[in-house]
Amino acid sequence: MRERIIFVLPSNSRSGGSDTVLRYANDLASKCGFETYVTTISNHGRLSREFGDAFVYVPMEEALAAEFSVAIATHWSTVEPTRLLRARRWLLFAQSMEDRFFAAHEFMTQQEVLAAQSATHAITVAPWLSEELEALSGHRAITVRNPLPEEVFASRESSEPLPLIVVEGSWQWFKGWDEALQVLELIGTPVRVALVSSDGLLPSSRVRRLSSRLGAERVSRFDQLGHADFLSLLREADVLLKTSCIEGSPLPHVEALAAQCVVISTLATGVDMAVIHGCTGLIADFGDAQGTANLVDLVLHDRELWTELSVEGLRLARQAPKRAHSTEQFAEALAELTSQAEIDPKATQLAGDVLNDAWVRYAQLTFSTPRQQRVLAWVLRLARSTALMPISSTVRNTRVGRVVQRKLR
Amino acid sequence: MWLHHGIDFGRVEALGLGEPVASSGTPLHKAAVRELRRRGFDTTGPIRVAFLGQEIYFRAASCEGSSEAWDFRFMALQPSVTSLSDWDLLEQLNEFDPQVLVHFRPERQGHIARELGRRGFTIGVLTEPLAPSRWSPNRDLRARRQNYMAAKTLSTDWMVCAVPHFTDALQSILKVDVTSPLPVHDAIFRHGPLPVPDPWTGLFVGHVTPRRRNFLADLKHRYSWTVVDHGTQWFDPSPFSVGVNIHAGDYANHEHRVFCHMANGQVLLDEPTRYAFGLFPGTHRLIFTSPQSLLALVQAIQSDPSLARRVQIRARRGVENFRASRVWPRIVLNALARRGAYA
Repeated sequence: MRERIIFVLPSNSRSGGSDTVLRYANDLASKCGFETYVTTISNHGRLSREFGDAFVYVPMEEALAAEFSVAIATHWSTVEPTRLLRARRWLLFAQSMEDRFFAAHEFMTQQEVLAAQSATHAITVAPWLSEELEALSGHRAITVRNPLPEEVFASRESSEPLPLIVVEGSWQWFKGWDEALQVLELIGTPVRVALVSSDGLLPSSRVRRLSSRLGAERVSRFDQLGHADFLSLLREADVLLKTSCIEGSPLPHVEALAAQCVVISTLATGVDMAVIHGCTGLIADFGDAQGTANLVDLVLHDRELWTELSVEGLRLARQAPKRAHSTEQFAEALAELTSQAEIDPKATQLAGDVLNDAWVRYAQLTFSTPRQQRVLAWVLRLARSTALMPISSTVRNTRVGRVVQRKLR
Repeated sequence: MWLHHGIDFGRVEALGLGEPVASSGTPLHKAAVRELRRRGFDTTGPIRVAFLGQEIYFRAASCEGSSEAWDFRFMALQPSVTSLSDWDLLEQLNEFDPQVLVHFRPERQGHIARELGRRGFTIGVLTEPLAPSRWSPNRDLRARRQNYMAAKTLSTDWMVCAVPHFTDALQSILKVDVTSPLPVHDAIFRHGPLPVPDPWTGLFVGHVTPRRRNFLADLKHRYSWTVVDHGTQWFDPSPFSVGVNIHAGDYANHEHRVFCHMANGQVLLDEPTRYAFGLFPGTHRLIFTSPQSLLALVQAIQSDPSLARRVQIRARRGVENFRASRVWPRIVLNALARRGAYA
């Protein structure tokens, strides 16, 4: 009888992370003999079949009524729903330390996320992630590196005289778009620029500003570019510029190396799997626009250096696993982790039951917004003053006014 | 072996100088060596780099040790030195014959910077905050701005700004080539088990300004924290499990002690910061915003150290990016290759 595995995604939204899950879901079914299912917590509906259609989509309501051998949470928000499923074992598939996506003032959420990610054994995409999860949780974490598709290694093609710089990522605070755009404005060498916005949310105003600096004909924007088209762009590019401060596994970096495109990147976690400074690419400091621009100018000016870096980068990329190998490793990891001792649910803290009173008190004291509290207190005093009633009636229909009215009730 | 209050700066066996970034034969290393050769240096053997600066502050940010590709050495340079020949520095420089000289706070000793420039490829490291304009209300920052203005003619081959908050202000006075926070000497990194976070083993290192005194007052009384005034003086750090960083004045800054505490395995309690360098609040450091918030944080650690423990573990791992033997080879190679590309 085939093992039944279910992956729990947060939604059907397309992302690099969800693509990875769907690829494994497909390949485990088509190549390793598993019966694989995928469900989503929200935004139910069609999932991408780009990587194959060997898996079965089931709505969460049906999944809750079924039984599985292994249930795999794929995001911190799916951990609790996954534990509700009827499965002999449940695991986590971790592609990043997700508490880092939240800002300092979201302290409580950070701790909930960390508790969720530390709750069980895990399969991860990078050695640093496995080491960190094991150090934090005491549970077992096994690395299965993302594969590199063979088509990445196709020949380079570029006939344009000006070098091309590619910047890629979703419009999130940790992807470093502000820094990257600043770097592009400081580069001294005439260049073409391709801005690849994976979620299509890059503000047009920023693109216009860059175009006015570099020339509109030199700046191209691509929204939600398909993977094959992105690889084609890398084969034409001279530099992939990455100024993010958070990464999980550096798949775009490795794909760029395979396309013999020099990578200039900050040293976010996992990047050193691909970019060894001075050998396969160049490392830039966080928040150092001028220094990063200097590095771009360096490789564009010194073509001997550019060539040697791209050759070494290609050599490293060839060491990345193939798709079939990654799938086998994933299956082996599943087998090993499901043979580990079960996690005692009572011994692990779930999201929402994380911090004691002292920590909650600290969080409230530190991450409240005193300035907003002071402004609101002033407005409340103003609203209560009978002498100022005509003014307060004007305020009533504004956003501030509605907040005040809620407080007055 | 030279011992400085518990940190054995002479211990060099765990430097990581064998890492690929520091190895000879890499494309960037070859480009850097080409530039040294172009400048007339003998390039057989390792690249010799001398760090010069006030020892009490800057030895902890330097690199020491040698490998096939590199030879790093720190030489104390006091602010009172007016010429290289005033001190036995000249003898040390002649004996070591560095090709690259990293000069901390060159704006204070422009004449020394010029002498060093005649000896090798110089990298100036600017570490002091300054006012963005002469109209700033902060007297200290205005004074430092004046110092920088007086050093406008300072010329080094490469200029590093160690505090990103002030890069823009500095760019209007001196040309800054790269902004990179001061790394941590390899000897400061703790190896082996980390101490369990305990508010009774808290440490503050640095000049106690009125602002800092205000933050530390309650802690010193309730928890008997150790306060080491002035300079990066490390007492035997092994008993300490919690370190705190407090800005000297009412202006944002990045202080070297932040990375030193993380590297030494202490839980870092820090004020909010604009530049995290990949070491984030709540993940690698715990944030406080007032003296009351700091006390609440310490009390929370006392009630349940587990959250602080997670922060401590991740910080110790994350700060490896700022190990001196990783950072300085990168800075030196970048500088040489960049200058060589445009020679």
